[in-house]
Amino acid sequence: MVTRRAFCAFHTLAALALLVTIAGLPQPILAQESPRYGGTLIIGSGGDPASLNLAASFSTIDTLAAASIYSFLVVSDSELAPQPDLAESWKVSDDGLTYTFALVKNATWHDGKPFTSADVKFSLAEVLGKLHPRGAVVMKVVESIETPNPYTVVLKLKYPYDPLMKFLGNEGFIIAKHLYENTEILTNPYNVKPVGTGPFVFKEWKRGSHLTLERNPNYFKKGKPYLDRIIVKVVPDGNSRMIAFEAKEIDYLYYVNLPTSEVSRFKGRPGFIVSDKGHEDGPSVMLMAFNLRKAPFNNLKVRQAIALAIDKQYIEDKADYGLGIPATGPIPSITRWAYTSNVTRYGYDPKKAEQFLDEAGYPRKADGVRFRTSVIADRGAFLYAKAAEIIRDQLGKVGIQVELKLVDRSSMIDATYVRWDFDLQVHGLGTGPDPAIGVARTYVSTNIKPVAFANCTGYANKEVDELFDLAERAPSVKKRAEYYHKVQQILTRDLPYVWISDYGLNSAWRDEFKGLHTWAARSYTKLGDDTWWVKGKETPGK
Amino acid sequence: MAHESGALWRYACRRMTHAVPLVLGVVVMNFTLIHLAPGDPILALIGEFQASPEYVQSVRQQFGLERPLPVQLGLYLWNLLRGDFGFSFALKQPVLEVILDRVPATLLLMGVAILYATVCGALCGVLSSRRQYSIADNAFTLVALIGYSMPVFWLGQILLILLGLHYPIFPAQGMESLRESYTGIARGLDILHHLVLPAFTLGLGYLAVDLRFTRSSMIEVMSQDYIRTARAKGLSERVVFYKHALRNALIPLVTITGLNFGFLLAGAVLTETVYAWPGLGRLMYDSIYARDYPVLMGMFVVISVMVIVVNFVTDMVYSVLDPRIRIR
Repeated sequence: MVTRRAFCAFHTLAALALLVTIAGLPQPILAQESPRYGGTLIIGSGGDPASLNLAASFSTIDTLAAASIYSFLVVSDSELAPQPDLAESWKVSDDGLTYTFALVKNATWHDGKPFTSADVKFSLAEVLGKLHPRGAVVMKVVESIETPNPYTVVLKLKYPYDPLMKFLGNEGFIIAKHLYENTEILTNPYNVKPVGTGPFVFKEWKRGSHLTLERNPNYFKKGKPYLDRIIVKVVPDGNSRMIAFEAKEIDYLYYVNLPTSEVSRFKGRPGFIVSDKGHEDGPSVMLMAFNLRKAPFNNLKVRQAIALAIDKQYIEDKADYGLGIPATGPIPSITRWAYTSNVTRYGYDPKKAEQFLDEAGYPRKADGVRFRTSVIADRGAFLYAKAAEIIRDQLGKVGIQVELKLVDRSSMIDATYVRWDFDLQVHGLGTGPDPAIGVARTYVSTNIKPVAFANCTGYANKEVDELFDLAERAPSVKKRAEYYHKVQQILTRDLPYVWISDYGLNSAWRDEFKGLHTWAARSYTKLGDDTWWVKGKETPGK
Repeated sequence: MAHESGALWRYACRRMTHAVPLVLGVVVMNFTLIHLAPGDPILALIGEFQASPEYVQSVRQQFGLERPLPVQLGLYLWNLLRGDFGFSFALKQPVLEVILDRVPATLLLMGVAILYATVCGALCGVLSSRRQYSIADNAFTLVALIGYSMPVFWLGQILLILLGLHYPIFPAQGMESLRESYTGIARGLDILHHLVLPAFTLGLGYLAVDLRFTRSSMIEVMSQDYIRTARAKGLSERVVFYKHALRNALIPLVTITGLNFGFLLAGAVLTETVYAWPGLGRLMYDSIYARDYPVLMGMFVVISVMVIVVNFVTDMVYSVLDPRIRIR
């Protein structure tokens, strides 16, 4: 039997123990429980933005600077599923042809004008559909945009198109009709003093130095944002940027501004957080392209031999600092729903490579060389340049003498994609939020055009074209995945490329800031919504 | 007196007429070289994702890049004569606006760098020459050699790591503190605080040149006949040194400072990049990377005019100090 006194004594002790435990916890852990208000987040950027009109821009630098000023219709989460933003709910018809969006009623533009469905229609039809290169592709599928009332938008499609929501959720920024209608959109003055519906209001832009955004007290998501200010500081030199980050002059670095070589230095270091989460919108594959128009690369046996002669794990370890994983095919493993590992694999086997080269009619000559070729890569991108250097050495071991051509990015694009004047090319390609947007372009024969980032190898296979087309139009994700699995099997068999690495994407920030990279696929576009400072106050205001 | 000012005026006019073909030559040469370099600004503008050929063509037309090169050059010169420097591909702004926005930061950085390099260089040079081969002289020589041989980029990084990170006496980046909003004198002091490392980095090499130049110039002047005459007249060593020798020895320093201006601008590209100083040098670095032809051309014009003007002023000052120049 427990006496009343013993009961009270036990509970008093338990309460004391709890208090001691809580008092002993570090402040940030306590603070994590609820977001706090105030503080300034300084984002480091490698360059000056060109335009702050994100409906007509597709540059990461521009987006990093201005994303917190705007809102999307929907936002993609880390599974690339849509979540509410300016649209509080939506319905998709059973045939997948009609999307009906119900908009929030309390959103206003930063100049005080109300946000309505007319703004959505204008942004999609007149700006994203015409001036955004990926938007132009996506919006071709849209038959009509209707606005039956100020808070409803209806999109009617020509055929079911699953990538639509992924585009809207990662790049479909909505701009103000009343400021852009009947103007030259690319030179509109609001491109440099933007007005949005987002959590932060544009304050000033000192070119070459910084851009300042201030808290929007009228943001339509009640209680948000938490920070007082976001400042984007321009530091073009990578080493200097890292010194500024270490010296706490910069709080956040998105992966494009965080040199891969620095990731391991900051990983696990007190005061800093490095995360590979929140980049699900833009996984990338490093690959080596063959110019199939040229001998001996038009010979499958030679391509297979080259694939066998390349040690992908070694490249991953030395060029990517072990942050990614060796690639198996054109769709990176991070795109889980469409990826398959059930493909033809080429493990590192130099002996077999030599045997394949002999069989292909390229035996070693008196000087030990089978044939001479060259590999081109962008010298400004360490990962690709280093990988090309390693590939030169590894191919040299099986008797292929490779000349290393490290040139600047523009020259690489010109030689590879425009003039097709190359043998081998090492580069990385963003595969985007959906293979229909980011992968197909590299392999379909209809895209053999002298244009940057098109199908530069000259690879043409009707079956592949058809499968990509079917996958794009299939009404269910399951069916789409089946088509993509098949296409990966064909491509790894035909081998127009050697897929080298699903390379790692890591962003870093100071641990005084919380809420970053928690749920969105393109996390840096939602920094304004979620980020908070552990040293802030419990309520907004001074 | 009137004859003298007339001669100076004629000399100034002659020098100015030389400047016109010089600027024209610089424009034509730079235009040709930039456009001959491999790479396409449109490809630099478009990211890793593919744009349709129609989109690429429309951007090319928008910037007039589809026209033959001589036509582009002719149009550029014509527009330049009307004060139109073009429109930046990458920054989507009129070029002149972009450049003028950055000039004050660069002038501040260069002005302070030149000032401290010249003053300290001359001072140390004089002290060195007074006590040749003394410990101080040897120490100055050593410092000058080290200062001159250190690449700006390397020195900048080392100072950043040392004084910006490990012993954070100075800010590591930028022109002003961003977490605080200073105004008035406090803002001026904040900028000055940010200026110390970049100005020191940029000026150190020139300080070394000025030091060595002043030292050798002083030693040479001190062996002249008029110095012996001054001493023979019974003047004190102090008066001989500072009044008679120093004034003459410093005249060539004016020329060196003028010449240094152009080199300093080149150094500013690296210094501004290392310290994220928002000036012309940084703009040039970014524009080269983006193949932003109009901005690059505009900068070459502005910089060549600045160099020509500074050299012109230097010549004028020199001709005032030494009338023999005008006669030649």
